[in-house]
Amino acid sequence: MTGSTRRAPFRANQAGLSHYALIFAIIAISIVAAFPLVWMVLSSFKTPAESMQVPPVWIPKTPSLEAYSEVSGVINAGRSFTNSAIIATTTTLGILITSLMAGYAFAKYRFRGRNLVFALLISTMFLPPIVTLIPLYRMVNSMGLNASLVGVIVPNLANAFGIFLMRQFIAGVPDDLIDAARVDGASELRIVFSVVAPAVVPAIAALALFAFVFHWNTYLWPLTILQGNTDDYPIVLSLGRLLSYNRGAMNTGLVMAGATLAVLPPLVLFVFLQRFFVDSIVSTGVKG
Amino acid sequence: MATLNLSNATKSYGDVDVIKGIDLDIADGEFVVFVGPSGCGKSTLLRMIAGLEDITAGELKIDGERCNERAPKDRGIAMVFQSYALYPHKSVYENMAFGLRLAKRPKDEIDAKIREAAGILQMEHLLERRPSQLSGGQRQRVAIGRAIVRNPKVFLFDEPLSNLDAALRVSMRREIARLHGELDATMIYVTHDQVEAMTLADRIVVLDGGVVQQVGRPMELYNRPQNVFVAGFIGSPKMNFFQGEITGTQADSITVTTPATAAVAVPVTSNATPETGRAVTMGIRPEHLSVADDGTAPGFTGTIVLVERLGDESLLEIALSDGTEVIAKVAGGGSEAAGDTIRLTFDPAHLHLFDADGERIG
Ligand SMILES: Nc1ncnc2c1ncn2[C@@H]1O[C@H](COP(=O)(O)OP(=O)(O)OP(=O)(O)O)[C@@H](O)[C@H]1O
Ligand SMILES: [Mg+2]
Repeated sequence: MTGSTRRAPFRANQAGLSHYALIFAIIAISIVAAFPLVWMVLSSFKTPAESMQVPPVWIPKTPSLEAYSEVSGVINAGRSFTNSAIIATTTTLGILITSLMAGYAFAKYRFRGRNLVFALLISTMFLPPIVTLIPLYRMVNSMGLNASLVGVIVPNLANAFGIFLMRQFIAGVPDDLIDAARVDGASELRIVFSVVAPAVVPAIAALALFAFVFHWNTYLWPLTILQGNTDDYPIVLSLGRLLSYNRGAMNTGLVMAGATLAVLPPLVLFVFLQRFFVDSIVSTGVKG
Repeated sequence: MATLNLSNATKSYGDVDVIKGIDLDIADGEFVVFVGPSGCGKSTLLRMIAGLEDITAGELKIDGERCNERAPKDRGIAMVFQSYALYPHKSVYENMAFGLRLAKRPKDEIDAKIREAAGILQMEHLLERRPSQLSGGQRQRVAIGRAIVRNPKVFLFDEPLSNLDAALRVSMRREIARLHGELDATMIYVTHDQVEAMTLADRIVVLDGGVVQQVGRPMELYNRPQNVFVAGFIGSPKMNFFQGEITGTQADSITVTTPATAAVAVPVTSNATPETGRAVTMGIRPEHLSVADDGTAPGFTGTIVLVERLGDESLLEIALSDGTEVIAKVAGGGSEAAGDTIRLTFDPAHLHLFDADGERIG
């Protein structure tokens, strides 16, 4: 989990049969995992007739963007994307900030009941979200935040997994570094964001990605709390409306086009963030 | 530059007392070294002074002002850590600038201070590098530079050289000595390395079990250790001890008899009045033992167990007939070999005498 582990370079002459078996397995798994994604993208370019054909057409003969232009006719795609972006970005930022601060406290402060509080916090990770759905709904409702983006966002600004992850990584940040910052006159908040955070960048990148993807794709909670306020629907909820807008007819191409658009932002974020965990850039300033 | 006073400084973790009431006055510009075995509380005491550890009881004054409740940054101290503790993601320049920026100093003042410190430490060419691109010695220089730019009243060092290799340790040690002269600052330095303590210190504070054992100039500690602990701790190899008893007292000396040595008259200067029959510990440093040739000086005979030749001198490990092991440091490569029987003599003026409680009596 530290930044200093280096992978041994792959050497062909070490590769026995098991090595090739491993590579084959990885390729097979990748194909299975990528199949729906590829199918989705391909289908989005098909004409309605092509998408209904049996046996299925793999590669559309005349790729068309028709489905894409149609999406905006059915739902307010711009608005839905903005809603998703607001929900995913604010929630991710909130999670990062609260996780860093709480993770720092759990990792570096000694206080009465620390382990008990931490254990309680961790135990919430094992609660199925469905169990808390109704109580959470009633709480947010009673705060008057129902049917609004604020209501979608607020309950998710902190979560146990993020705090747990940050605590684990921050525990590895040397105490001397924190003490040096204290001597330099840094406030505790300043230490968290200017000294500790840069030392756990890979963890922050990973958490940011998980949080963003999760809250970009989240379905049940916005559906529940937005109470049919379709103006505030994130794209994932709006996709559902694509599916059902024309009862009787199958709008596969339309739905696939919408879904393709919907996965783009998390994908772009992944490409952007992956370098942070592929080669973790943190090098320690403490002798080690 | 400042004075520093500790009175009855105490630190407890729950029921465990780690620092047990320390009184210490440090003069302006003084270089004080804390030494002691691992776990004796050196770092804890230093961190109490820095403000990184609460003071459970007692008082800390810097420049006459009570500092117990002050944040580290408001105490006028700067600290250099054993692990260097450089901010890994910041350049050398930014490492040094961090504290000044937090204190909202003007940009050109920050720049001037950093250039000046870099000049003193001869590291102008390193300013744009990251800590990971520096050698251990260079990192420690940066850590010292970061302390210098704070312009502290008191410099605190916690084993700053112990991560460096032997040669670098010597040169950095000289550099710190030079720095002390140049900056004319009060410095407190923690180490478990005697050579560092002896060479750097104006005064050494020997700690054990959270208690001050002795405070004094380096040669004072070497020549007149106050108790058995200090006698055994200062000096390398360790002082040899013999258990014995007082068999006679004269006006200016005490006669001590041990199983290993015949009766020896130990000169005493203290006004202690030891009675005959009392148990004592007699100590003699390895460098004060010599290979006898005349047979008149007091001494003892034993069998050489091990010879360690260091070039300019040799260490002889000798087993006496009663089982006591003694180390002697003799000049030159020597012709002694393991298994030889050897007679060692000493000048009674070099003997140290401690009572049953370990306190010095002569
Ligand atoms: N948080 C703590 N809780 C309980 N005891 C502690 C705590 N921190 C330190 N101690 C104890 O305080 C004592 C002094 O520790 P300290 O780090 O000051 O020793 P030291 O003299 O610096 O040793 P070293 O030479 O190994 O650095 C040790 O016995 C240690 O076990
Ligand atoms: Mg220590």
